[in-house]
Amino acid sequence: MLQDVRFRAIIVQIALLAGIAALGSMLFTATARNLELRGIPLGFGFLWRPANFQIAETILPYSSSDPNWWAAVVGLSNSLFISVLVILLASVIGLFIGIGRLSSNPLVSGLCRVWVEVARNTPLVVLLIFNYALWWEILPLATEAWKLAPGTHISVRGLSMPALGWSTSAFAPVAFVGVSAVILAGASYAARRRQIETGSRPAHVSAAWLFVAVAAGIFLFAYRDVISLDIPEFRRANFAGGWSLTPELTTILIGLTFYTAGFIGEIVRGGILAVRKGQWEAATALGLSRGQTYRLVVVPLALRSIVPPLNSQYINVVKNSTLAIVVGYQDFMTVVSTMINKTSHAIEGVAIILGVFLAVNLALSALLNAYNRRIAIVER
Amino acid sequence: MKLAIQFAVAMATAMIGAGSANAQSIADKVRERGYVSCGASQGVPGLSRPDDKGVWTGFDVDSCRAVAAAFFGDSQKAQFVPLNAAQRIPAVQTGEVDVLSRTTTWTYTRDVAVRFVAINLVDGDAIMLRKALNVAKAADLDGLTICLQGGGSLVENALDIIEQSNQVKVERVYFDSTILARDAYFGGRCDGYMSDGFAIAGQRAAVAGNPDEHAIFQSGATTEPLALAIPRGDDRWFDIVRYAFNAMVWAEDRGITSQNVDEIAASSTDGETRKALGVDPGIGEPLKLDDKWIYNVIKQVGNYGEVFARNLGEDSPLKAERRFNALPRDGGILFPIPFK
Repeated sequence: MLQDVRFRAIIVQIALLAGIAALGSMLFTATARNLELRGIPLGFGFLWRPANFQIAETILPYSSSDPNWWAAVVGLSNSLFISVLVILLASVIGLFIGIGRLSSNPLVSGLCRVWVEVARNTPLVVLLIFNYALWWEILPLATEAWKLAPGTHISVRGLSMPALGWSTSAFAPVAFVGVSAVILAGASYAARRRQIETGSRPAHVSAAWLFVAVAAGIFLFAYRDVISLDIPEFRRANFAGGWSLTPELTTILIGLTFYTAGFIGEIVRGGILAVRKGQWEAATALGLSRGQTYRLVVVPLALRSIVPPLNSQYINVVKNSTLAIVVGYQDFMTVVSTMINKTSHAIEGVAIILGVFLAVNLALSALLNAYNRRIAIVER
Repeated sequence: MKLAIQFAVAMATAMIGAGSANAQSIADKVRERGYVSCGASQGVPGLSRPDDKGVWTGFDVDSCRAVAAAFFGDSQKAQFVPLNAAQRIPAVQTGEVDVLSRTTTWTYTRDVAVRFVAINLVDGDAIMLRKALNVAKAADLDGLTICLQGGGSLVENALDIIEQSNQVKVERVYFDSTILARDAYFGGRCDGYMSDGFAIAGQRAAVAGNPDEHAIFQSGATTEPLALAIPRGDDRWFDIVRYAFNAMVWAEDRGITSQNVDEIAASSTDGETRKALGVDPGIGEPLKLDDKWIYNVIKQVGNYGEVFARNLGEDSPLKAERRFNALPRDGGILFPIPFK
């Protein structure tokens, strides 16, 4: 039996697996024992205790008496918020930089080149801190804020502008109009598909749009007292009320977008250069304009070589979002570090950070791989 | 197959080896390494900051140099690791630093994670504000924006207490280092910059373009015992750190300074003093140290009053008052433990 190659192979596999399992459990018990010796408790019970610390700027509602796990979720939402915005902005800007780099206009290609070189050759932390310092180098103090429009001011404290506010009694009609609009947008899309396929567009969709618009108008009139404009006012040192965009959020968005767009621009340029010259010539022969050539021929073909490297750029954005705290924006990593400091559960906290980033990046990667499969050339 | 077994055995041996290495005492580890590894701040004037030549100076730095002077007989055998608020406790727990002397408030939660040894400063929270804002009482803070270091420091809690007890609301901007928070304040991003009282006094004295433009508001919301901390599990190291610090307090109580210590050692007839300064033998034996260890602390670092004056008090730009940080006879709470 030992002479059987397949049998031996299985035995070796089992032995290797057992060895890895033994090593893992040894590492775990040794770590646990050492931690116990040093008086570091292990366990995730702390997640259900009140966090007792504040987070300055949040997307989700949060107060310091909420449990630690909710604080972590709030931190994660901050991280994902900036990551998603940066990925969208940097993709669009990166596309234009990539195309601009190939422009025959020396000013356009030169500027795009400067962008790429600065972004690629500067450490991101330096870029962020520099960006942040620019706020108070350029912008005036809050007392001398620049007025951009009535109620809208920009200063070292950020951008402050009027916000549309409504009380809870107006919630039902607002929700009705919102939900209807979403459903109708879906229906419009389906109708358009149908129009392309069959040539006839279902008439009832446009009628429904008209109905929702009229309903929105009536609600707006009926609830004009509860829907109000909240105009920021200057009180002592700050603008209070209204809607504001803080320098911290703006800096991390601009800085990270600038940085990532530089890399994406190069990927796009490479992708475009990889499109065969014959495709350009064919597009010209068909009489397509330069814009049409890009939109209909070159970019769809270039996407096939752009998407795989883009995947790692997007993952980098998520990872780089942990630098947000250097400019005072609290992200997931910062929130969990604070938790570690307050509860002394360092091992669990770091495990949570690693696990969550792994999960987010694997999900992002799976999404992009699925997209990549869709646009890949189907071999016939 | 054979390879797998060999591998497993090798790993097991390595792990057992690593386990016993971890059990080595801190004092032995420090002796082997040749210097004390001290946890310091990222740069707070008067407390711990490298000067223009790169030499670490400050009150917290001297507290750790006293340990080096006691243990090695040389206050220069100390190296400093800059740590932010969130890093400092894990750095002690993992043994990265032997002594944490970095404005760390002694709390119950922290004390069951690391080992606090001695309170070297008592401080409270303070907010630096522009004088033009005229903040005289806590209620005047309403609607202002405060820049501070996040990461779970007790100063953050002080702000919560101020808000609750005065029915006010302040906006916060958190940074991962107190230096960035300070720069954001000086840049105009915030109306106030919050930290510990001595740290605030140091930043105003050393960094502000014109110190007269800035006022310091102390709410008294918190009184913080800032203490030296070490990793758990080594009583001898605990004794060395505690009594190295006590040597400075004791010396002030006895009127012994770095200037007159030689003279007093030569002329003293008091039994405790003679033994403590190593004139009569025996003081070093229980700690397995040289008999001159207290003498070395006083001679090389100075007594508590000298160290305070040099870094925080009248001989420094901070000109901070001693308040709680004085001997009981001067109205403070520093108790010298007798070397008997």
